[in-house]
Amino acid sequence: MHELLHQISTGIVNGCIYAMLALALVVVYRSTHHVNFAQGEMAMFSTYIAAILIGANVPYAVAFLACVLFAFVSGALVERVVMRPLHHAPVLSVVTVFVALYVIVQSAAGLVFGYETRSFPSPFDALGTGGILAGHEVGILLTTVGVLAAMTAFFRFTRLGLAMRAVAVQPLSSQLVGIRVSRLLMLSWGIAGAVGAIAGMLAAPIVFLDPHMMSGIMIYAFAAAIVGGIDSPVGAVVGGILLGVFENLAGAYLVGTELKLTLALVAMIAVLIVKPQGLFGSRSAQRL
Amino acid sequence: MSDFLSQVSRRRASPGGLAEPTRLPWRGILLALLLLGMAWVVVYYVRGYVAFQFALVVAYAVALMGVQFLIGSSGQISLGHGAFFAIGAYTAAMLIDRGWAPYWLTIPAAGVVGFVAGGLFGMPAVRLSGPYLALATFALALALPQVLKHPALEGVTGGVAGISIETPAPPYGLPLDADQWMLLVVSACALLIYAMVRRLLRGPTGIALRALRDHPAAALAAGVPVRQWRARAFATSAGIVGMAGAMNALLTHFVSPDGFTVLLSLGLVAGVVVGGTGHAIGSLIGALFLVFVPNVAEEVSKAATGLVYGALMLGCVFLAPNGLAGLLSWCTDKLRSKDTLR
Repeated sequence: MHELLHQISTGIVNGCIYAMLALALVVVYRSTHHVNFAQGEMAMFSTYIAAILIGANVPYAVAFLACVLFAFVSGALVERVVMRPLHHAPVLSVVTVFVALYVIVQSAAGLVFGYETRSFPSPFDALGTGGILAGHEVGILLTTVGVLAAMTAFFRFTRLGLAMRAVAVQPLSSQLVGIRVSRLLMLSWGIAGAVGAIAGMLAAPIVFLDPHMMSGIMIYAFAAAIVGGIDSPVGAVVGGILLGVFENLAGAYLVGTELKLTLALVAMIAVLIVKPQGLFGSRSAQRL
Repeated sequence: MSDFLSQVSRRRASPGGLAEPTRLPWRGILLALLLLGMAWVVVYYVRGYVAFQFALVVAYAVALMGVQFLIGSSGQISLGHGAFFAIGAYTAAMLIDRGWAPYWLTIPAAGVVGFVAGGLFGMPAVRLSGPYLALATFALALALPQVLKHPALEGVTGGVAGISIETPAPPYGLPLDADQWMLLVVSACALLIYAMVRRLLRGPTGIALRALRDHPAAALAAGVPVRQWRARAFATSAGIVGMAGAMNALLTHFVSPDGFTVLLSLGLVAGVVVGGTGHAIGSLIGALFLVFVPNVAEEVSKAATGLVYGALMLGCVFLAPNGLAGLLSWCTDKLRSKDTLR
């Protein structure tokens, strides 16, 4: 029984990381209707920035802020420089650009920071209570709740958040009432980058830092976004946690840990077949 | 696109739309002569490692033809065709390893297995469109090495170590070395596959695929069962890529899970984008790119291959949306139109 509880709670903790990355995907999807394949790699690169700063004896909090800021700016820049010219481009061009970004960011990280695995500190080790969860895991839960609360507040209670929701639903009408749509697209890419970077910093102490650290997590985040419905923030979080628990339970009792990615693939395809819009997604009229 | 171009050039040859007088099939004769000449060059001048590398180019060109068929003709994007490449390669290696089939039979066998695998994966997956299909296939590419390594399948796939196979020797004591012989075999297969794909695209299949690529709703209204055709296109392209995988296994004498990483799948898409989706020659250009760019880039650093891939893909999207082949035909069109105008 204790074993089962342990698996479930670890699953929820992993699920939080998936949920945050999935949330980043959803933010980008809602504003531009693109699925950013390179989100995880961008998060990985930002995490390296934090690792370098921490290695230079900068306090964790400062390194954290610098990393989030870097991720925000780089996300916004990618939107401005690479994505905006492709606003009405065919899907192949968009997918190609994301794949190119994926490969470039990963290789650049290898080139600049090297391919050896590094450890990454966790600021939450003191939170360990000797219970089911270790200190870092408690920290992940708290951070996720914090990020979710902050994002909900931002989208619900600020004018900027309202404007962003308007752009997500009706870009043209928003432009007509005077919202600067292109600025907000940059902003949403920046927010996605920042949330992704937080997920990266939370994941790094567990999976260790190397240029490939996000590829597995990214597939689970995709699956989470699809399970929850790619245009639903609530769905991303629920989907992430569901998948985290599913992954851990199936890994422990069903198929072993060697087939983790295959499980994500199966979950993704199953949901897409049975309920293509996901658990919380809005149904689109186009079906062929 | 190439069909269209050839039609245009034919129309130019007969002004006023007059019926062309029957002539000798010059293009066919020229092509045959060219092929014979190339075979002669191979036999006398290209041997050993060079022959091996050119054979690899041909194998990758076939793989790119398969992906091009999917992306260019039916408009579906797969980031996971490396998985079908791997399935083809493993099929060939297992058939030879167990002595179930002679080496030349493994290529069509891998095609059949790839076709079936592509059909099984494609039937549910083609309900997805655009980025969703790309995502699902991307997950397939990431997941397959894990499945191949799985202990439960170790008896079949050879686990992490993979399978080594013997080099096929040239028959009847032909005065060729093994690499030369394989280059000839692989090239002949590639030509056959090219002829089949061309035939397919010029017939009703091609029309149906182009219709559903350009306007799925209109295609459906015109009586093209869109999902079925998408699944067929997916399976066909998987079959072609599977044959390429078998060629690759025959050439390298070795398959292992780590030979079929995500970078292979992404490379296949990169090759198609760089070569161009609409031109047959594009797959050859893409294959040259896939075989020789990593060779050069690896000498600079481990990361350089990825950087070059990525940079070229970005460059192509922004500067040459139809790939290098598109750029080439655009240039020749410009030159030609200058000639005719003056």
